[in-house]
Amino acid sequence: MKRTPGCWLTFLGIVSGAIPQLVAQQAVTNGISALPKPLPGYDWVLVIQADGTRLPQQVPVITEKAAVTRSASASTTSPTPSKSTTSTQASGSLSDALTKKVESINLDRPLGTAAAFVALDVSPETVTHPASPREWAAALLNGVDHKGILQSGLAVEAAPFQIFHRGNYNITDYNDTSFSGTSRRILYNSSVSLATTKASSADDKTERLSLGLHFSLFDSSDPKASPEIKQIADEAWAKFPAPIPNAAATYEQNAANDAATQTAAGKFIDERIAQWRKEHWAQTAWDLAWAPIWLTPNSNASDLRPDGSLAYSTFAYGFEKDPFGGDSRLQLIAQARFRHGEHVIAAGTIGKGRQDTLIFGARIRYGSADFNGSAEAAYVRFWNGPLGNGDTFRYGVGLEKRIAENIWLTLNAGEDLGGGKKSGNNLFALGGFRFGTADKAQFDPQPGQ
Amino acid sequence: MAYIEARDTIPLGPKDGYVTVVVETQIPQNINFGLVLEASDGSHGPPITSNGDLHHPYLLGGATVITGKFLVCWGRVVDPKQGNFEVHCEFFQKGQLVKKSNSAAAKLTSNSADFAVICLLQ
Repeated sequence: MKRTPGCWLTFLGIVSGAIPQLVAQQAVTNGISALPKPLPGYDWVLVIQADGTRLPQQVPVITEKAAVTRSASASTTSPTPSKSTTSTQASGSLSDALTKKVESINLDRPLGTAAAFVALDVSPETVTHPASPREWAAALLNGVDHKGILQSGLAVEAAPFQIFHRGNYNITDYNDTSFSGTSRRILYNSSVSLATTKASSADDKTERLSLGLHFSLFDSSDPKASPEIKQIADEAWAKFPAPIPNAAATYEQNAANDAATQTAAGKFIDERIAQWRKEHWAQTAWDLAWAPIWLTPNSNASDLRPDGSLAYSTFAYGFEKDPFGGDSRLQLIAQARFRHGEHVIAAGTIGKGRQDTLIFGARIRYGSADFNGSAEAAYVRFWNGPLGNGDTFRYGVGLEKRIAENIWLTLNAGEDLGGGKKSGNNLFALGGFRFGTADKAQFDPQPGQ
Repeated sequence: MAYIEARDTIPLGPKDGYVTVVVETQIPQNINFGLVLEASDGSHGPPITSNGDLHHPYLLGGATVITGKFLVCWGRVVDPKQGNFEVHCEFFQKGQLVKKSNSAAAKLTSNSADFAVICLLQ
């Protein structure tokens, strides 16, 4: 029997204890020509034993329609995946699943994206940012109703260090480059996020919850760490000095007059920092994130059970000067993402398991914050899942043009290769609009604020 | 950025001699301030401004001339450490201390704050 690298990874994972479950099933779709043709209506499945050996077994094939019927009727004539509603419904074939996965890769996320949102692959329009312990508690309470039902669409992101140590940390401490100072800066910019999402099917009450931890290890585009920002502040003080109070006026009148000056100074600083960000677009940055995931089959918070975790790291390197002699910038970005222990059940065949997924993505980008072009490549590998092992590869090029303050026009084209390729034409071309907050062009590293 | 204001009345003695003022402060890392004499209608002459130069006496004028006017000391304190700050004025007449004014004092909640000490000379 031909052993794929994924098989060995599965084997090594069991031996090392890195994979908690000792038995996993894999649908045998390729590379077992030595086995006889299965009986009509049956298919071969590799059952991994506790000692690591694999025993091929014939099991009835369930079509997607039959699986739904069987699940509803609780038939005992063939094994129905237990707690199927708690699993990710994989596509009917490995090729489809890989294609779906590679198409879902979103390399456009800014580095600062909350880890829980990445883990659940959601882009919430409204994110709660609690600024105090009380607001944090209120945001958490809003996530569960009085019956213990998890609320879908919860999206909370907060920086705990900024909430609980706000008054004890200043810009001088922020720029302390000692080990403890650097550690505190990383903590200051770290964020905790919480998100929930419901299954796409209307009658499926499965809900997933993720708690994300995100660390910005380094960010050369962080204005708070730049000496130029102090110059901007000094310039603002000189340009907008404190107004002379009027002795005949009340305190409130003088305070209002002073506030108007301060607002003007603040606007001046904001504009200069925005300009600074544009000039320091596509810099060097490195972040790290981890997000454990739970799911509940009935939306009840008391039935939450682990669904693995997602870990990823993104590194971006910005060249100091335009290699082509212009005013544009060149940036290289690489991301590695590992999704461990995702509970997956195949919809079109029998099998369920804890699937692991590894994704590598890379992009080279050239241009400015308002107009830039990029080339990117992504590699996806599955293993341990019910659909077997496999990998796929995609590459492409894209253009991005800002047409309004928060709107970019995007155009992408490329090709899918490897296990995820579709039959026939593998080329793709996508055009569309992307919406986001100002200065958050693709992969633009945004420091924690 | 906040605005902190203190007010006081400075009773001048017999209306003779010159009155001087010193701006005193504690702890701020940097203070920019100005001094100006204001009439009750809000009109004022050219202000004196200083960038952190404290403990320097400023001549306000003869007591008879400045009586009924306001001495306005205003400015901005900058302290990235967001510590406490305190500013007050000390008035002297013929070299003798007349009064220490009330203080504009607070703990900074941001890197800077604007302040004013407004004293009615009478």
